[in-house]
Amino acid sequence: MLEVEGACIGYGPIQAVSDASIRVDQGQVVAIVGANGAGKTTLMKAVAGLLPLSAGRVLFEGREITTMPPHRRVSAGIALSPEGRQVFPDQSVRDNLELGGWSRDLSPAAMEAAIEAQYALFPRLRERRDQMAVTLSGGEQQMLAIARALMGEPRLLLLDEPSLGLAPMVIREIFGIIQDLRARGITVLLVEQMANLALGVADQAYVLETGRVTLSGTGAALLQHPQVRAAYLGAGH
Amino acid sequence: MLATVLQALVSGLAIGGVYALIALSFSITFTTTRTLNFAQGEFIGVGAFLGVTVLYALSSGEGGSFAALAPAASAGFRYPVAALAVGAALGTLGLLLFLAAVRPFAGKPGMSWVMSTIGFGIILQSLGLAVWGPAPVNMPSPFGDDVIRLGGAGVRPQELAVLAMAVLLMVGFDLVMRRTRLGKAMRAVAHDPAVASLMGINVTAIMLGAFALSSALAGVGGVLVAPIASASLFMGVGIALKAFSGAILGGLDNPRGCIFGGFALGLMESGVALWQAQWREIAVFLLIILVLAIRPNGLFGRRALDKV
Repeated sequence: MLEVEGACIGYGPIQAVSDASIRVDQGQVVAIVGANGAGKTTLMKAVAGLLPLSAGRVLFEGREITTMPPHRRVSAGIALSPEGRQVFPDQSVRDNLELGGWSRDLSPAAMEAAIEAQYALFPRLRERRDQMAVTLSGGEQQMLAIARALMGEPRLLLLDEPSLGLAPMVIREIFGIIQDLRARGITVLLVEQMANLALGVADQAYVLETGRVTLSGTGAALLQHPQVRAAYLGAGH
Repeated sequence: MLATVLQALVSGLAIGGVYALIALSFSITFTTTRTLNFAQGEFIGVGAFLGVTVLYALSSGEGGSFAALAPAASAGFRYPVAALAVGAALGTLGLLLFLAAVRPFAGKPGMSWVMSTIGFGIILQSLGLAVWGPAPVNMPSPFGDDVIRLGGAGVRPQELAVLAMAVLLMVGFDLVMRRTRLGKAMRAVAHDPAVASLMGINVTAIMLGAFALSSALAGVGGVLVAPIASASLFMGVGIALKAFSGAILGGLDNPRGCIFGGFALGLMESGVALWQAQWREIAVFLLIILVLAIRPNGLFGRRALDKV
């Protein structure tokens, strides 16, 4: 479904990702794990179209989208829930969701139905519907960010660090939702510092180290991999 | 005494309405693109002259000469048509300004867009002088020049019309920003263009729209204010400077704050003029400097700390 081939991505002279190739198949949850600063978020931004590739290409459903601007990728079926959630703080929960559905150009009734569907998935958001997003807790903001991305009806959902700064109980809830999404047929590309959690849900996973893919395999295999265990799972100390 | 105070209040609100409208127009481009159109003053003057031209064309024969239009030239549908035509023409000019003088430089280091928008304004003003000449011309008010008596104060109908139109436009804008999908998208772009693009919003299109709207407001502002003084290619610069001060006072990133700042400036101006006309500008700008020293982001501006 998504193929990133030999991607090089940089900020000015700094190369954040070098020659990275990843592949996401339809219906899978694919995780990218790695330390802070390994280039995970950079790679996600490039897939969403926020950063240009200096080399390599990106294919989505067989079509090359390397230079497609971000707003068109949303209509093409890719939505990103960005790192740090990035909800619109001065707009209500409902309006944040409405904005997420912008690309679908829905009638008012269809928009309400689409928002209602997100409330069904995230009942907490229904309770908070008229509150400004800035007043939500971190976990609620994360749910809103995911729901907002889902409003675009993506076939590929990009989740960047959904556990960032959240309490363990909330993190479990978010990862439960990721499994629900897979059950609903949504393909997920997940970037996560908490490698054990990410590898636990992932069908396929990649380890990114200083901008390069150093390991790949099934989530279960990487969970057992000695190098991964030593570097990211706190074993071997 | 009461009558003079009332008089100052009404004219302060009228000119404040114009300041508020133009302050809002600054805020519209600033929030969405972090740039300003420093040609806004020239846009006001050109808007006024275009308005006179449209009135002249619509009333050929019965409206008098171009330099001295008769009251009939503004009668009936002609004045609203002129305002709409000027809005559309200046809106288009705003698109051109964005593409030629802002987009190539926006978001890049340095402040090239400041110079390029100033330059755009100077070119526009020179073209206007070539077409219309330097002399101010009269634009008759559609409501006549008979002074209305309000509790002893004499008010010109155009002043009330300016206030009413400015308030109508600003309330309309506020409703669009809060209630419609397009307005919410504009606010999303204002908050963070990159995140807005992740919603599928075409950020460039919104920025183009912001410049078109901002420039259209300047043009309409020119058509509104011209019957109070007279249409001149130089009239806009002073208005734009005051409006900009009002925007800074209220907080450039807060549209409602800008509206407040514009009205506040108009009222302060006419209030101080009651006492000593020649102290008007001094008192007003001293107060602005004082306020900004205490609140650098303006009275209602977002604190820099809010943006993490």
